[in-house]
Amino acid sequence: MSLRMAVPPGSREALPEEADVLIIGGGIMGLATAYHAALLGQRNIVVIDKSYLCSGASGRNGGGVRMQWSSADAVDLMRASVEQCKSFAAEMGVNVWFRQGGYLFLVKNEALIPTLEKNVHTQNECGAPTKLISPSEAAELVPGLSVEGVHVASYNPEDGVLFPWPFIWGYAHRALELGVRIFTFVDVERFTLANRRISHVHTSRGTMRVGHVINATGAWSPKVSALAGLRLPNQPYRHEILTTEPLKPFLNPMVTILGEGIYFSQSMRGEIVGGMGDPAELPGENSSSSLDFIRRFARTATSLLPQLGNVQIVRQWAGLYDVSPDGRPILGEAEAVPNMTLLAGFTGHGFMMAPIIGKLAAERLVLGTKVSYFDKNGPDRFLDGIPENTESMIIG
Amino acid sequence: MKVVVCRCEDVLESDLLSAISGGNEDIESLKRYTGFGTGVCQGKSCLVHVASILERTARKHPEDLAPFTPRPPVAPIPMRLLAAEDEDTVLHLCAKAPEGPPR
Amino acid sequence: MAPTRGVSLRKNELPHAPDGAPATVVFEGRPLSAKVGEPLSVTLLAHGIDIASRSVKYHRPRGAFCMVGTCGQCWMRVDDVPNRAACTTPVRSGLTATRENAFPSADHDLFRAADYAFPDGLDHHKLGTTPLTPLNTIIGSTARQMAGLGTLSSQVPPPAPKVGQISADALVIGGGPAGLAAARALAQAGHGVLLVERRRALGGQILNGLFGDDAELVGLANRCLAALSPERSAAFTHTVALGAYPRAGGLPEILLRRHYGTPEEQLWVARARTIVFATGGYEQALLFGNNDLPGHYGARALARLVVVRGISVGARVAIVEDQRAVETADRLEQALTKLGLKVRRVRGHGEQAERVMFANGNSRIKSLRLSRGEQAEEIKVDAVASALPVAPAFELPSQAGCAIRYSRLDGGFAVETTDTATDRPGIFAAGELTGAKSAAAAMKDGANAGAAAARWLEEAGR
Repeated sequence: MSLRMAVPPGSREALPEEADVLIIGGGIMGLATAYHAALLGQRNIVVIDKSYLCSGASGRNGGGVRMQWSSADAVDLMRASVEQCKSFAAEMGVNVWFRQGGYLFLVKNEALIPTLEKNVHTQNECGAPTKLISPSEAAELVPGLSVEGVHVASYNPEDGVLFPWPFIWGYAHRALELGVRIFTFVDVERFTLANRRISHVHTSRGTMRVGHVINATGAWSPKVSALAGLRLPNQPYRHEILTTEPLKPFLNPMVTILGEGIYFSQSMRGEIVGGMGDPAELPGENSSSSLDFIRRFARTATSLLPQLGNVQIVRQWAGLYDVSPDGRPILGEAEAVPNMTLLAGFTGHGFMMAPIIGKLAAERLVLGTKVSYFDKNGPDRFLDGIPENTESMIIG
Repeated sequence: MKVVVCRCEDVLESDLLSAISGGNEDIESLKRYTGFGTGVCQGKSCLVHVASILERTARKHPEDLAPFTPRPPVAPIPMRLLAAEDEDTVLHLCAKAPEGPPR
Repeated sequence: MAPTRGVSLRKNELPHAPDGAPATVVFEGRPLSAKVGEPLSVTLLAHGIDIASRSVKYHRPRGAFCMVGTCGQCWMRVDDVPNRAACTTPVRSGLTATRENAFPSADHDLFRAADYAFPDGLDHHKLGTTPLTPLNTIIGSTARQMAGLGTLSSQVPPPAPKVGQISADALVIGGGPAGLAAARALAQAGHGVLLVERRRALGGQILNGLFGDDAELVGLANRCLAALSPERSAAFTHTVALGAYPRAGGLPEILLRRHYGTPEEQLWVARARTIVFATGGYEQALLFGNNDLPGHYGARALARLVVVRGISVGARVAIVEDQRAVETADRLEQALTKLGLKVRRVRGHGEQAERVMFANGNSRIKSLRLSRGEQAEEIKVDAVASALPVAPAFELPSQAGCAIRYSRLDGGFAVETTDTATDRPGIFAAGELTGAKSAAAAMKDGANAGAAAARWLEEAGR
């Protein structure tokens, strides 16, 4: 079956009057869920997105996929996700250019050494082959790397990078084949609730009666939740990213400094793609590009890998992280709105988690399977205040 | 015979027509699917051709013809230049002497 | 100019080629005679080397087209640094250059097999989607080795100079007819002006050698310079404006790269109380089969190459044009005919409209197949010049928040203006940036924009 479109047929047409499952958000999270749910036999699934497919974070991220996390359940999930990424091209018939070059975490801040050691231990316990390595071993992995000030590093060769857009098309295409309908350029305006349940969704293209709603709107998820009267503490934050001229392969792993937010790797096309979070960034939906970012990135990247000095930046852009205050995603239903499932708060790693989360969310929805990761990360955990942030391996 | 529209990424007119007839009727989706405009010239030599083809063949919604977001830099910049610090002094090209700190 | 022993002669030089201090560049191991300061592309073309690079997917031969650093077709390795535009790299003695991403050479590249194997194109989305994951991984690795235009330089460059800071009353971006007129008007009104121009001299399209009969245009750069008083104005040539970035409490700040491609290059950040965008546009290649092969130039680029630099592209030139760029086509034909070239106009408009169906040639364009109604004709050519309206360079104004509008008649996405004012207070736009127009009209437009910007500064006491 040939895939010739990034735009689902009929996506600009009128919405149906009802959907058993309405997935708001046509990014990878929503589309993976739609695909898996349809595969499990769920009928009458409708996906809506406010813009073109790939317009949100799913189309803007750097394509990193890793198992190096600090909580065991995140590591387990990401191992499963990496497996899915490996076989995606064969199963879905579209190339996502997945390359397992590994992730190299460098530690320059002494206070983070025990953190890294603990995390590597957790990962090993889960079966991830991460190794703690010395600065000179790190320099061997990345020729030309300056390891000045580096105390210790970790490397997992099974982590990798991929190209995000075809992932979206793969899920969309297969979902369409299975009867899912996808509509783009649809804005959600308000909900009608009856007995705490969302009964109708009013959009810019009409009203739909709905059975179950899935909120997979990423940076916009707190706004959509609020339409149902649910106040959640996750907030969107801009994260900037850039790409360079394409060069012959010279960089194998994704390189990142723990706690400093910088990351970069080499894409299949040969470009260095990288980003660096700004600790002074305020929450908001700003996706514009700043001069400050490319200067901070250039300064840090060239001090890490001096040969990058001659490498030319060709484009910078930005996307939004859906940031959860305790670093853990927001999954499942709030008691206040039992028929809206949240798949939110992924704090910059939603894309890499979506293959497995979409599958689990679908199993939960269609088969009623209990998923402990959802139980542990429900939205109602915020009712008594914000839990402590224990995830130390955030990048970006 | 190849009619090359995006020379940086070797995107052919036939690739674009095929993508458009497959439903990619807006510039952002066309860019993502075919890769046009993502090369080193960032659309300088191909965007208007694509807009013209799209206008001719499809275009149902005005916003579909909006260009993909123009982003800096407009020409490639080596990182070494960006890694430099700011100079301390400001060159003022003003009719009046500046009052107060420069903006 | 006597070449040194063993150094190739410049076989493609015309009698009127300007003088220059002699230099020797080493191109893929061959010493070539050159003139200090000329663009590397000019050196190569003077020696008959017209293949500048190979394309990314099909490894088709490509040559210079725009000659101004924007089309990306002449990127090569210069002084051991990959991916540098040859057309904006000024030559100095000892410069080395190599074409990359071809095997065994860019002149005969075996990877062009992909071009022949896939005459209708290859859908890269289907690559590596076999049912066997390990096979897909191998395909991916192979594709990765094929990707990339050049190899990372082993050099660690010296630290760059600090980033200069400018605060000006007015910033004019673009030193062509519109920008020059705007800067002059602002300076005459007493304001401090920074004028920025990407090429090494002021004039923009006036420098292409086609406006010799227009004294007003020819003298514009000097009149502008005379108006810019040194205490409060400056003209930065050989400076490209890279981006417009939002700034709290003021108009966007503009990032500039001065003396790009030279050891002295430096970034500057310019902040101004009013901005006039006069960035003109990018030359476009007419679409026809094999239009991407060497020998196809923008009309203005060809003028610069042949009329100004005195490089021969052959005896027979076809000017393919549409009705929106007749002035350029007329002037180019006149100039080339005067130099003894045989020029054939291929008009895409009017009663005798002809269509270019395709070009023939393997490594360069050798002939064009034309059709007029039922009739077809093949004409032998040595070079093709596309005379189309430039595509407005809307990126900077758009980054600065200005509205743009697509119109085929205007050549593409033009900046929307009302009497040169954009919809962003304090930002003005003029010239071809706001729609196709003659050079003379661009100059008048620029003068209006400068005057409007000056009034805007005065009215709000800025």
